[in-house]
Amino acid sequence: MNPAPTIGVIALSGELDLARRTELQEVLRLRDVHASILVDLSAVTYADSSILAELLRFRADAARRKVAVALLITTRQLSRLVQYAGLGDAFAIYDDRGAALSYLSEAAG
Amino acid sequence: MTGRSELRVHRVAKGDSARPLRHALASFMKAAQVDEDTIDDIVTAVGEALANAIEHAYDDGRDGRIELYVRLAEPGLAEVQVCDEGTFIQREDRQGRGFGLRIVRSIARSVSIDTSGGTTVHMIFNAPRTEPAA
Amino acid sequence: MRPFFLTAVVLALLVPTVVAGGLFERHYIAQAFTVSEDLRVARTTEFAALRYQLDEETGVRGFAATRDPLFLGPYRDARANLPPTLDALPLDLAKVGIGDTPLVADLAATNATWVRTVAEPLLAPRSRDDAAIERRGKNIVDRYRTDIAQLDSLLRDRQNQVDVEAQSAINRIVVLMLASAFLIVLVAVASVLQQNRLGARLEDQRLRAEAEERRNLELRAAFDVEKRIADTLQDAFVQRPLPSHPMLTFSATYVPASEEAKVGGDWYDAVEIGEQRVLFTLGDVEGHGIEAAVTMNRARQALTTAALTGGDPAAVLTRVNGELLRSEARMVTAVVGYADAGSYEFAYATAGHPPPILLEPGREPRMLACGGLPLGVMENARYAVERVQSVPGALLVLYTDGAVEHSHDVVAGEDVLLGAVVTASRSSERDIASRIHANIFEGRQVGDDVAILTIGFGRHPAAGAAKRIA
Repeated sequence: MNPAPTIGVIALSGELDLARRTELQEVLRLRDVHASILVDLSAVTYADSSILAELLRFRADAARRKVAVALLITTRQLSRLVQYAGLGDAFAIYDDRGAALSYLSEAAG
Repeated sequence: MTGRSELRVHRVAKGDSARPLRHALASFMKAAQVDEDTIDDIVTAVGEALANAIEHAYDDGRDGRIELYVRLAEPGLAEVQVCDEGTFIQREDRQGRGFGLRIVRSIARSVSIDTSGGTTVHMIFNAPRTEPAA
Repeated sequence: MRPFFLTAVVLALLVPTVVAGGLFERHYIAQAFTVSEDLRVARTTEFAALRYQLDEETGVRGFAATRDPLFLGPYRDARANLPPTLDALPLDLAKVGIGDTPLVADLAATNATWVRTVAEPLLAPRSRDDAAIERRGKNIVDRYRTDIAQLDSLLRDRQNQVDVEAQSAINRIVVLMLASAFLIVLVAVASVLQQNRLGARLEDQRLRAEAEERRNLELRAAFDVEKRIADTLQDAFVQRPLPSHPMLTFSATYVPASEEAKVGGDWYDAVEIGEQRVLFTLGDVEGHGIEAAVTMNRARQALTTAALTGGDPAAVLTRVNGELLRSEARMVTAVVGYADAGSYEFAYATAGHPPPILLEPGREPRMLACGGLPLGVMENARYAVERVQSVPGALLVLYTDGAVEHSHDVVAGEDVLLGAVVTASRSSERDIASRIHANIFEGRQVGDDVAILTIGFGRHPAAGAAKRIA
C-alpha cells in the first residue's frame, strides 16, 4: 500500500540509546510540508527513554503546525518501554502499518 | 550448563559504553536461563540506569568509570548495581529525565539510589528462570 | 417663633396703654393750660382792681392837696372802671375755682365805703377835717389792699397748684414714656437674645445634623467603596476562566470560610502562555476579608506578570518576594509553575506552601517536594525549582492549607486529602476540585478559606487504538 502523498514517513532502526541521541534529534524534525507523519519504529531493536523525550518534542512541534503523528511500534521492547514510561496514551501508536496510515489519512483530511 | 551467578563489568564512561554493557547483561542472563521477556525488561531498566550513569560521568567533566554488577539469587531474583564515580548532580534542563526512574520503578521490585561516594543505583528484579534444557 | 410672639403680645398690651395714658395726661395738661390762662386773666383783673383803686386814691389825694381838677380825671376814670372790674372778678375767680371767696364782696364794700366816707368828702368844695378823713381813708385803703393781697395770694396758690399738677402730669407722661421705652427695649433685647439663643441652638442643631449627614454619607461612601472593591475582586475572581485545552484539563474551587466574605486571601490562576504551556499559580494570604483580598490581588498580579515576562518558577518567586516585601505587610504562601501538555512535564516552585499532590495512573498519589519561605517575609529568600516528568492521565492537585488544616492534626488532614483525591479521580466528574472539596468536608466544618486547583494531563485522542503488545 502506498502512503498518500501528504503522509511523511520517518523510519528509525537499530538500538536507539544515548550514543545516537544527536542523530535522533536530527531525524525527528519537521522538514517538509506534510499533513501527517508516520514515525516507523518497527526496526528499532532497543530504545531507552531518550527516544521518548524526542518523540514528545516532535509530536508537540507537529501539533503546533497541525500535523498529525502516528507511531508504528512492532517490537516488544519498545512497546513495553512506552508502557513502563506511562506514555502509552501519549501518542497514536499502531502495531499495524495499514491502521496507522488510515488514521493518518483521516487525521490529515 | 548453568552460567555464572555473578557478573561484574566496568567501562570508561563514554556515549557508546552503554551498549556493550547491555549486551553483556543480556548474554549473562540468557546463559543463566532467564526468561526472554524478563531479559528485555531488565535490560530496559538497567539501560536507563546506565544511560543515567554515563550522563553523570560526562557532566563531571572527566572520564569516569562505570561499573555494572549483576548477581542472580536462587529464588528467581536478580540484583543489579550500576555505579559511577560522579557526584549526583541535579540536571535542571534535561528532558526525559523523569522517565528513566519511572521506567526502572515500573520494572524493578525495588530501586534505591546511594549517593555516598559516587552514585550507585541498586535494583532488584524478579528473574524467573526457564527450565534448563536437559 | 415664640419670642417673637411674646414681643408682639407685650407690644400689643403696651402700645394701647401708653397711648391711652398719653392721651389722658395730655388732656390733663391741656386743662392745666386752660386754667393757667384763666388764672392769668383773673390776675389781670385783680391787678386792674388794684390799679383802679390806686388811681382813685391818687386822684382824690392829689385834688385834696392841690384842688387841681387835673387829678379828677384819673379819679373819674377809675371810678368808672372799677365797678365793672370788681363785677368781672368773681366770674374770673370762679373760672379758676376760687369762686366762693368773700374777698371780692369785701373789696367792693370797702371801696364803696372809701368812696362815700373819704373820696367824696375830700372832693366836696369845702371839707372840714382833711387830715382825719385822710387818716380814715388810709385805713380803708389798707384794708382794700390787704384784700387784694389776699386775693393775689389765692391766685398765686392756685397757679402753683395748677403748675404742680401740670408738672405731675408731664412727669407721669415722661415716666410712662420712659417705662414703655424701657420695657420695649427690654423686650426687644430679650427677644433678640432669645432669637440669638434660639438661632444659636438652631444653628447648633443644624450643624450637628449636617455633621451627622456628612458622617452618614461618608460611611455610606466607604461602604460603597468597600462593596465595590469586594464586588470587583469577586468579579475579577469569578471571571477569570480556566483555560480550555485539548490536552490539559482544569478544575478549580474556592470556598471562603464565611458566607459574607465573598472574597478572601486565597486565589488560583491558570493562564495559557503558549500552545502547549500553561502557567499556574495558587496562593494564600494570611488573614481574611477585604485587606487580605487586596494583598491577594497584588500578589496574584505580581506573580502572573513576573511569570509571563519569563523566568523559571524560582526566579518568579524571588522577584515577587522582593516586591511584596516593599509593599505589603501580610505574608503570602504560594506555588507557581508551568505545565507542558506536549511533554507532560511540569516545573514549579513553592514559597512556604503545602506540597502539590501528583496522582499518576497505576500509582498511589504522592506529595511532591515543597519548601521555601513564604513571600514577603525575608529579603533574599531562596526558592528551588522542581521539575517533574509526568504521564498522560496524571492529575496534579494544588491546594491551600485550609484543605488539610481542618482538623488540628495536619498529618491526618493530609491523609484525608490524599484519599479525597483518589476517590475524586475515580469518579467521572469533570469538576474534580469540587469533588475533592466535597469529599474532604463531608460532615466537616470548613475552618479556613479553601482553594483547590487541579491540572489533568490528557490522553492522546487516538490513544489505545493499537493493541497493546504483551
